[in-house]
Amino acid sequence: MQNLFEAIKVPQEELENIVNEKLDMIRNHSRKKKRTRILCSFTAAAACIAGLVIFSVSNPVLAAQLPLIGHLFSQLEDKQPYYRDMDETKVQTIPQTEESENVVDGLKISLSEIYCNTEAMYMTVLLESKEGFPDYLTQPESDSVDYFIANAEQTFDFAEGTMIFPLQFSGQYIDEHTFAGSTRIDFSMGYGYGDMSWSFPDAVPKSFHWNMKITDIYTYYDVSQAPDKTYALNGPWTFEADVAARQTEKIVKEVNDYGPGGLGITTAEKGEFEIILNYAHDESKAAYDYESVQSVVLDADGKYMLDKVGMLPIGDFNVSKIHVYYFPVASEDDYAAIQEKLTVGEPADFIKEIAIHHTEIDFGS
Amino acid sequence: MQRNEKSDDKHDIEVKLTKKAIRGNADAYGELIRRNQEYLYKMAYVYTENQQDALDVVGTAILKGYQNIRSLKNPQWFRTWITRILIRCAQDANKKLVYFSSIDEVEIPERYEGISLEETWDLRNAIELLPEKYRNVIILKYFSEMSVQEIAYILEIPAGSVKAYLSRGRDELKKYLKEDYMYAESV
Repeated sequence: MQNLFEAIKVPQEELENIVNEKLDMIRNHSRKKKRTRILCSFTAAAACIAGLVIFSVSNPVLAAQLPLIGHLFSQLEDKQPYYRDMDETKVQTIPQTEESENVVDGLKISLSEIYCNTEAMYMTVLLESKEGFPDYLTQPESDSVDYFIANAEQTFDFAEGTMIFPLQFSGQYIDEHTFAGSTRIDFSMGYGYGDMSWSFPDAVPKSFHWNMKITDIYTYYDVSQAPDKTYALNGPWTFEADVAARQTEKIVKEVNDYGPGGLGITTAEKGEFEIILNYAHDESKAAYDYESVQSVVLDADGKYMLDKVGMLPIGDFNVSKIHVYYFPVASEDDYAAIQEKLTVGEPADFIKEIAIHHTEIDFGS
Repeated sequence: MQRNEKSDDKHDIEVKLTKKAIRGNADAYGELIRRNQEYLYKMAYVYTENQQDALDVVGTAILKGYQNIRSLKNPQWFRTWITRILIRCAQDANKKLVYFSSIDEVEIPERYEGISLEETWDLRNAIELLPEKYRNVIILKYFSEMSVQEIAYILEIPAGSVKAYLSRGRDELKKYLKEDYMYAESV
């Protein structure tokens, strides 16, 4: 069948034309953004002052949403892939001060909460538009992308250099004036830019001071279907905070064990919120047909864990150990019947009866 | 051995380009698209079966890819990630089209050069007869040669479901095709 794919005739000239046309559009868009960023540095101060005056006018929507501040992690949990069941007692609620909320051009950005460990800083924000966000964003005709991209420059007092990286605030519109979003800032991204010298600190201290400047923020309805439906504003919005970092560890276990279908696990990584299973396939270890052996992951108490392509959200599971069971399936109906049994009751005894291979991964805690 | 080294170099270059593209470098993104443009067209054609529709889908996927490039978490997976976007674009495009064609009006395109018309006709019809969930995994597995994990990522389904759909899809195809044709190239 691969030959069939290779044999598909490509209309070279027409394909070149369409690729050139779309890449030209992208380059023009990119150049325009760079120009506005330069202009922004001259006008930012004036815009910031004007914005503060405008936003001091009473805003009933803002008042209605005030209780959101400090409670966004739980509200946005299913909008992002990183954390699950974050312990609210360990979350740092940001007091509303000049350092945590800024208004420019009628858009107020407020930091709501920060949660930090030694791998990343998780942050929630509230975006409030005085004029209201366009209808094409809050009441889209089709599935829209509910996130904002913020070009941000960040400094951390434990690292030399500046982290310059766009942040994606994934979330949802609360109403036509309000968007709540969360993002994750990965410390391993490094600090520097382009050809500048980069730094990668060995450790994240228990506490540090953090500054962030959002130079511009934007989102789209659907750039391909409606290129004019772009919402973009230039900042800067500036923030700073003293952050407490939980000293967490990532446990990495060498596994290198393969099931009888040839699919196996090389390493398993347990972080604070997820377990990552790094899968591999080795034909030489396959005693059975590849598709005829399936696997399932149970926690230390024998509860079924949903495997999202090698990522297992930890949530309330007991993950001191996890068990991977490999079992034969004769057909899809057979597999569906087994899966149904796994999701109800206690699946451990049942799966042990039919398993032909078992891998135990002991994280030790 | 030399071929593997070249392949590794190519992969390393693509990872570097992807990292730049994620940081907003439009030229790096453009280079990635150029390196994959023929693959993207062929994948779009498999879904649309029409040259103009396939070109439109590629164009849309290029723009949507740039719009969302910052959401790509693993730079090693650019091709897999852009395939996911392309397939969504193709599915959206197909929903907008209403075909009124009888079996007599369908022409066998020249795209399948080197393969007998009989085989082409059989395979094309067999794939089109599959339920969508099986068709997707069959196309990705045998046309793109993607791994189960990559297919699971593209279709946003558990890896176990991918394997089950593959098994079921192949069983369905076998009803229409000679078994040796199925297994000669795919296993």
